[in-house]
Parts: sequence; C-alpha cells; structure tokens
Amino acid sequence: MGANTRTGRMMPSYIDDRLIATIVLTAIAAVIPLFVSEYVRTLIQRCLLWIPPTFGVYIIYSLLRQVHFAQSIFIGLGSYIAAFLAGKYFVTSELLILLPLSLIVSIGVAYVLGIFIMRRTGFYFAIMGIAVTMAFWSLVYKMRQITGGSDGISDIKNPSLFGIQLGDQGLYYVSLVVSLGLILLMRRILHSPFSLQLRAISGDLQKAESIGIPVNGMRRLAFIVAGANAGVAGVLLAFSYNYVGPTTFAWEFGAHFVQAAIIGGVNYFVGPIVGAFVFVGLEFLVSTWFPNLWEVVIGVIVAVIVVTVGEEGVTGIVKDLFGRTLKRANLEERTYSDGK
Amino acid sequence: MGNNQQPVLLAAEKLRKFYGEVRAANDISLEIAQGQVLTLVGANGAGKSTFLNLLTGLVKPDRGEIRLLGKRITGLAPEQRAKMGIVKTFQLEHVFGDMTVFDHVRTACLSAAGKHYSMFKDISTETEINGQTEQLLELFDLARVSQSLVKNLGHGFKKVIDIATSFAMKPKILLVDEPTSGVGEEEKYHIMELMMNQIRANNLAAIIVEHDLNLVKDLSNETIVMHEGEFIARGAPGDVFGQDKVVEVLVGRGF
Ligand SMILES: Nc1ncnc2c1ncn2[C@@H]1O[C@H](COP(=O)(O)OP(=O)(O)O)[C@@H](O)[C@H]1O
Ligand SMILES: [Mg+2]
Repeated sequence: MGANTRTGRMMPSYIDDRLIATIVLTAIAAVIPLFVSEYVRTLIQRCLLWIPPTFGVYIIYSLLRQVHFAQSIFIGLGSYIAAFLAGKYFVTSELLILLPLSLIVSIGVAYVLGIFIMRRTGFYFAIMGIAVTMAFWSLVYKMRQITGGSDGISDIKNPSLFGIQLGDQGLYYVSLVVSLGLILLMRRILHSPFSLQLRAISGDLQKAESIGIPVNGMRRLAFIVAGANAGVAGVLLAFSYNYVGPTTFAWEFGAHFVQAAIIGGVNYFVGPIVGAFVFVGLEFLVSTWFPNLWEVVIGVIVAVIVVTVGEEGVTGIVKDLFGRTLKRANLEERTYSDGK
Repeated sequence: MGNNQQPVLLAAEKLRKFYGEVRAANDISLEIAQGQVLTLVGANGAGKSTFLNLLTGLVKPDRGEIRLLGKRITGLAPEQRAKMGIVKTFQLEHVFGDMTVFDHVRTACLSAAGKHYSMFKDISTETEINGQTEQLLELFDLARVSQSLVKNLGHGFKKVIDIATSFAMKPKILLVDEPTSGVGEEEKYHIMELMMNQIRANNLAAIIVEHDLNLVKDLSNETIVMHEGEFIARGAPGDVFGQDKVVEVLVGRGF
C-alpha cells in the first residue's frame, strides 16, 4: 500500500518533500519568462491553463470512474464571457469581475446539465457529454449575430487586474497563480470527506446507497467542480489566444482534455499537470512540423500509452525510469490517500 | 426475548413483489421491535433477499406499506432509509475494493455524520470521525488489517468489513443477508459472534438470514420460515423445524 508515507516515515512534519517540490517548480515557472522568448512563454502559459480543465477530467475519472468529454462547454462559456465583455461589447476587462462571473455561470450550467448527465454512467455518460457539447456548438455556430458564428470573436485585448491593464507578462503570472491555486484546491478536495464518498459510489453503488450516501447529489457536485475549473481557465485562455471561436465548444476540443489526462496518467495526482504540459507541447511541436498530422500523432501516442502502461501514463513511465530519485522526492503520491 | 410489549420499530404491511410469474414477496407482513432478533430461513429463491431489499428500498414493492416508528417510508430511497437507521449487509460481495479497510469503515462514519459535501476539509483533521473508525475496527477485530486494501483480503474479512461498515451507520435495525455464505466453518462462528455481541450491546433489532440451522438455534429463539414469497411458519427454532411443512420446504427441496 505504497503511499502510506505520511504515517510511515520518521521525518519532522515541517519538512514536507512535496511542499519543497511544489515551491521549486513554482519558482521555476515564475522566473522562466525572464529567460525565454515571448513565444515560449505563451506556450507555457497555455500549458498552465490546460491544467485546471484536465484536473476536471481527472477528478471525474479517478473518483467516479467516468469519462468526461464535456469540459469544452465550460471552457467555451468562460471564453465567450471574456470575449463578449472584454472584446465585442466592451463592458469590462477586469479579471476580478470576469473570473468570478465565469465561475458562477459555469457552476449554474454544470448544475443544470448535471441533473441529467450525471444520472448515466459508463458509455452513456460519455456519449451524453458529447451530445450536449455538440448542441452548444451548433447554438453558438448558428447565433451568428451575437457570437460571430464561425468567424468567432477576435481582437480580445489583455485584461486588467485591480483596474491595472496587464501586459503579456502580467497575464502569464495571473495564469500561473490561478492554475497553481486551482491545483492546491484540487489537492485539498481529493483528500476531503467528499472525495472518499465519491470513491464509494464508483466502488459499489448499492453499498454506497445502503450507507446513506446521496449518490445523485454528490455526482452532480463532482461535475460542478470539474466544470468550474474549466470555466475559470476558459476566461484566461480567451485572452491567451486573443480569439474565441465556436470550435472552443467542439466535442473534439473536450476530448483533448481526456487525452491530456490519459497521457499524464490518471493514477497520479501530478498526472493532469504532466498531461497538460506534454499535450500542449506535443501539439505545438507536431503541428509546427506536420500541420495536418498532429491529431493523428496525438491519437497514436494515446493509443500506445493505453495499451502499454494504461492508467500509469507518462508519469508512471517517468517514475519507473527515475524511480529511486522520485521516491526520495516523494512525488509518487497516489490518487487515493491510504489510512489517515 | 420477543419484546412484544415494546413499541413497534419497523412494520411491513402486505408487501408484494412479483417478477413476472415469480412471487418473490406475496403480501408479507411483519412487525419488529427494538432489541428483537429474528432469523429468516428458506430454500434458495424463497424470497429472503427480496424481502430485505424491500425493507431497505433497493427493491420497490408492487404494493404494500413499510413504516418506521409509525411513519410511512415506502417511497423513500435506500440512502434516506439508511440514514433513518435501516441498514443492510449484503449476501453477495458488495465492498469498496480499492479502499483500505480504514477508509471503508470511515466512509460510513462520514456518511452517518452527514458530511457528504465537505469538500474543503482535509480528511485527516476529522479527528472525531477517525476516532470512531478506529473504535469500530477494534470492535470487529479489524485493526490489524486497517491499512490493507479490501480487495486483497479474503471473503470472511470482506463479510466482517461489510458488517462493521453497517454498524458505522448507527442502525436501529440491522438486516443481515447470509453473513456466513461462502465462509469456512471456523470463521463462520467468529463472524457471528462478533456481530451478535454488537447487536446485543446496542440493543438493536435485527433480521438475520442464515442457512445453517444449528447456527439459527443459537442466534435467536424466534425464527421465520419463508417459502415462495410467504412466511409459512414462525416460532422457536426447536418447534418450527419439526413441523412437516417446514421439513418439506427446507429438506425436501434439497436445502
Ligand atoms: N431482479 C430480479 N429479476 C427477476 N427475478 C428476480 C429478481 N430478483 C429475484 N428474483 C427472483 O425472485 C425469487 C426470490 O429471490 P431471492 O429473494 O433472491 O431469494 P432468496 O434470497 O431467498 O434466495 C427467485 O425466484 C429469484 O429468481
Ligand atoms: Mg438470497
């Protein structure tokens, strides 16, 4: 029962390897824009913003064992909120308004969608996610007057924070802070009473019901948590791309977060982080050299990972390669907490 | 025992459940009081599991009523009934295999305390819940496997874990479906003893489905024989098991 590290190790509690690793990685992410080109910085920023929606997929899979294809709905909502308010109908570009607004809208929409999507499991859950996403896509596509149809909305200027207009570097740091904040929040949620009971639901539905777990309500809340992550990231992604189009709502786009989660490895808490970086990095590299092939390449990679290491993903491969070092760094935290 | 002077805890009134031609429950009625322990026997397919599932809400009756302390609960979902104190252990294996034994029991402690939506609290800071869990593991002799994954443990362990998890719900009435099916002779008595000690210590009502007639005699002085969805005999095991019609359904049909 590998991860019983907390209770099993003799170590002063104030020296937490994981905390050190987090601080080091955050510090690297914080100073890196000073040393790399603008282009690379933007790429890292996108990686950071891919983490929260991927975490949504990860939570739904690791706790409820369901495959969540509908994250693009919430990315789309966040992105269009930013595009409307900060771009097209310029009302405000204040992030302190846009981010909470997107959060609230995402929670509301996830609440309503969850009422029926979360009643289904397995194949039907996945298919319903895709179907609902397609409905959103076609709505946005057809409401040309408002949404710009297939042209989308471009020329979204950088947002402001506390009334101060942000530069590109400022946007990077906001993305870093938001992404990091959501990662820490997800970590807390995964170690909460809520998550343990979600695992009971996916472990044995009848037993869960028979010990009084409100199955439908809890599943819906998990869906809301996942959607809220994507909604918040959606706002910043819109600013990051300077453009929002209906493809943000496309179900293929939602599938990318499922692919990122698989690539990272759903067995590990760091899986979504690794997956986001690898996916966005690959997308960039492959589409630069083979513009028409990148989805094929990603597809092949996902297939190879599924067949060879399954739920371990790239994180698992790296862990095997550098097993001893990583064990010392205590990064191999499993999804589930054991014991206390 | 047979606490007939006690107020009725749980009452089933003319419960019916047919599966096509199969009469799994044919207008059965039963009243049970606090502290009353009943055993339920009958051949395979007699309808024992169906009856318990009707009481917990996992199966919806075609007609009939169920009351808890006089209040109608027929329409309530299993999770609501569990909260009210009607808790069942399963005949077949129903456990959360990927959890540690500690987490398995802790899940039910959290549920009983209504902490379903507590998302932002670190579970390790739930000292009261964690203490309760440890206590239950002690009572059911599970402390030594506290950190083992449930799926890696033997069948007997899983049965005890299921029972301990049910006790975490602080039940008023425990419905126990064949707690010893598929368990070896020696383990069987151990499991029953652990369970009966706790049922008595907490003065719980219980309905226990059991195939081993010798065990049934030890468990309670009141047994019910079920056949084709009906209660065909009721009384002290010594008397009931001598009756011709009971012998016919229990022995004559390859019991
Ligand atoms: N879900 C179901 N669908 C169809 N028939 C069922 C179902 N559940 C139980 N039955 C039938 O009802 C009868 C009673 O089953 P059950 O309550 O499991 O009996 P017991 O627990 O006494 O062995 C059996 O004939 C069984 O085949
Ligand atoms: Mg049965």
